Amino acid sequence: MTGGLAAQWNVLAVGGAVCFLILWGIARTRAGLPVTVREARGLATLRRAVRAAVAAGRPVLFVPGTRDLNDPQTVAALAVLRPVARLVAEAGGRLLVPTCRSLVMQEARHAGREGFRDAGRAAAWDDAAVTYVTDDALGFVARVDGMIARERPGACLLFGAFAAESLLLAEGGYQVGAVQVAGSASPVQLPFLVAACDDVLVGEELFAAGAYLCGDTARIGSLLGQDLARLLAIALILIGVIVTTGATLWGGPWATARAVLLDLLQPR
Amino acid sequence: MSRARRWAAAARDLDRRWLYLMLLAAVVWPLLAGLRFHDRPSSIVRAVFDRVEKLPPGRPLLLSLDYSPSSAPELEPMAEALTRHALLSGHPVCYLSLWPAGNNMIDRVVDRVIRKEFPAARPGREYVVLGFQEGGQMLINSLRDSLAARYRTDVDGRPLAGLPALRGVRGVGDFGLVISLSAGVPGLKEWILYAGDVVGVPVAGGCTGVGAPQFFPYYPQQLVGLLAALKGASEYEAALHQRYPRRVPADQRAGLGMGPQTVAHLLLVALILLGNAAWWLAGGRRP
Amino acid sequence: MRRPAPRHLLAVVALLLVAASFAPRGADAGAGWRWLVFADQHFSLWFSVLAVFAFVLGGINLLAQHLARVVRRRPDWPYSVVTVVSFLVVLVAGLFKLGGLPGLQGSVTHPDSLFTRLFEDVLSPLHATLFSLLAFYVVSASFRAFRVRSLETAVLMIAAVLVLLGRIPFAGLAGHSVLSALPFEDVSLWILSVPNTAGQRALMIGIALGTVALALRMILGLEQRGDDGEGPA
Repeated sequence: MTGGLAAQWNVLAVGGAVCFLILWGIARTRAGLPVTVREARGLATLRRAVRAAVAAGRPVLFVPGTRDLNDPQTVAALAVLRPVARLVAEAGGRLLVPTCRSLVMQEARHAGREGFRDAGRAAAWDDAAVTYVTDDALGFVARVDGMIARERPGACLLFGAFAAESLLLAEGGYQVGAVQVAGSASPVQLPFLVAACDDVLVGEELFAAGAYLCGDTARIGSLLGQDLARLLAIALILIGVIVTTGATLWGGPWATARAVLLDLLQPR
Repeated sequence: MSRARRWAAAARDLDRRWLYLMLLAAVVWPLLAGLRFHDRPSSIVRAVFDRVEKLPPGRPLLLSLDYSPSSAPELEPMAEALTRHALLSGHPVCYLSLWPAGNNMIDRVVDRVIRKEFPAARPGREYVVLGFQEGGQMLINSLRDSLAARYRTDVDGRPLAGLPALRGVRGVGDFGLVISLSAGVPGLKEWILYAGDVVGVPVAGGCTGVGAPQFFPYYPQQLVGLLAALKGASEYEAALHQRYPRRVPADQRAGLGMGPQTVAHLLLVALILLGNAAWWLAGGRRP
Repeated sequence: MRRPAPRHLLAVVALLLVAASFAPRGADAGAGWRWLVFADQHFSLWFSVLAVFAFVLGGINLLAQHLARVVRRRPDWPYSVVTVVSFLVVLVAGLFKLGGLPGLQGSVTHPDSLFTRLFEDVLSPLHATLFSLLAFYVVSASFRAFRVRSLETAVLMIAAVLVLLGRIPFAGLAGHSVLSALPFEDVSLWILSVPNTAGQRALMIGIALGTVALALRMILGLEQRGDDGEGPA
């Protein structure tokens, strides 16, 4: 027999602690605990970019990544789409949302429609603003780059999971002079987005962006829980660094402590 | 504005099409001139090579080709070198893929390496092709305990039960080594997390250049070794040639690509330095 | 209108899968654990079946949208004709295994089949062409991005140059003792193994926390679409 609770109790303990902290954060925030969320710099750039694009009579392009709804980054990107749609509607602009998956198209239409409704401009929404192109990422980027060249958006917002097409999209936007804001938790693509975009939401800032823009208490509460879980991770790392350094330099009880720590935290 | 500053401003704002032309020349010239750069395996590549060498005789290895044609220039040389190595050292290879284009990628490797260089090799005996199935990490999940949960036969209809290439293999954990050549998701990370970490099977990998930084945190605890980009493939080919000099030529596919890569990288370094020099000489600001 | 059934199904399946990852495996595991492992494996199979249906849905959507564009003569409708025709040609070639071994058992990737020819001679070169654009775009993006404006950008530029040089096989330059002794490959490996690994691990921890939080909100039904719960404040 392999695996089981006896072998993975440490994974369960750490996972359980993280889940508890997140749930505690959500519960406390919903009970009225005031929590202030620092605005990521990229979100201020996003607001300015949308207003400037609409003022210049140019559309706003929003790409919710190239993966399906089962990817958390896609869900996070769609959470950003609704407030972006509200911003565009309030400014009286035009929104273009090409998608790479048919299910994402359905959800993006819903998010866009709700965003326009939030701005009191439900009648101005057209489902044709959200299009499904193709499942093939390179075919998708070929179409979107063509769309960028023809429509000349004033703002390109690239949020979600991307693969190699991120730089192709970002360079396309740069070439038409669009202000570009990206948000992704794909570590591989972040360097390209940082190099080619005006501002980038890195890693979990993408997940936090939806919370900040919507003001939803559950999302803000889970941000609080995540920050506490991060503190826990930092504490464990510091303990590990101190113990391992001591074991390397002095041995003796430090080495024993390191062995105990490894035994506690090592996966089996 | 002085002439130097004008030149610097022009260099700083250089039309990107000149950059593209320079890159084109940097890639084409070494190919036409036949520039060759032989490589030496680094420690992270040597780790994969040695693991394959040290597998018990006849122990099969699993090779998952998780890429599409767009990444084939970087990953296919790795697949070919690993296939050669496995067959030269007497280890059957089991091919599968998590990507829809994987079947074609597997066919190309089988065609170019096995059928041409190992004509005596037989499907089911020296190698077996399971092919692509949808599911990504869910597929890996299903295969953990038993290959038969998802594959009853190979792509040509041979029942898996009784195939000499899979002797002693029931689930993924029974392979001597799992190697994923991965261009994205699903790929190497899923093999590490859902196979290596759960059942303890050693996992090695190959990846594109852009993907390499994300796999270094897994080395060496969860990842035996890593072939990163064309350089990694070239290093593996060098190790293969060192070990089997009579069977494997010095000039292999990835090694031939090192010429253009070298010149292109030197061009890129020069352009970065030029761009910085021009930026500072022109006053550090763009109008 | 509230729709609790999908949320409840999501919560039950998600919790079962999490529990299954802690289940002991082996013939001597308890019956309850064995049922959990059984469910885990079969959920995996069902997800794959759902994914196939998503392919079908995607294909139908693709056809519907592009046919609508052609019929209504929307802008760029000739490209939609190309899309629909290409889709149908590849579908027919693959379904009926034109040119290859016929029948249900015939391999769709037979070397002589039309499907394989379309893949090798059309799709592969198209993919390679689009992907090769990246090389050019990397050059123009690097030329713009690696400008030293601060201490951080200076470190970025130096690291980029060292890693670029580290991808050059200096060590293999036999006969050039100076060039072959240059330590760029080792320096590049150190940059990737130490500072890069530190940054990647921090990113991974943060992303994992964000993913866990999102999953928890979805399991508890707190991740609202907006039409059946809280909207923006």
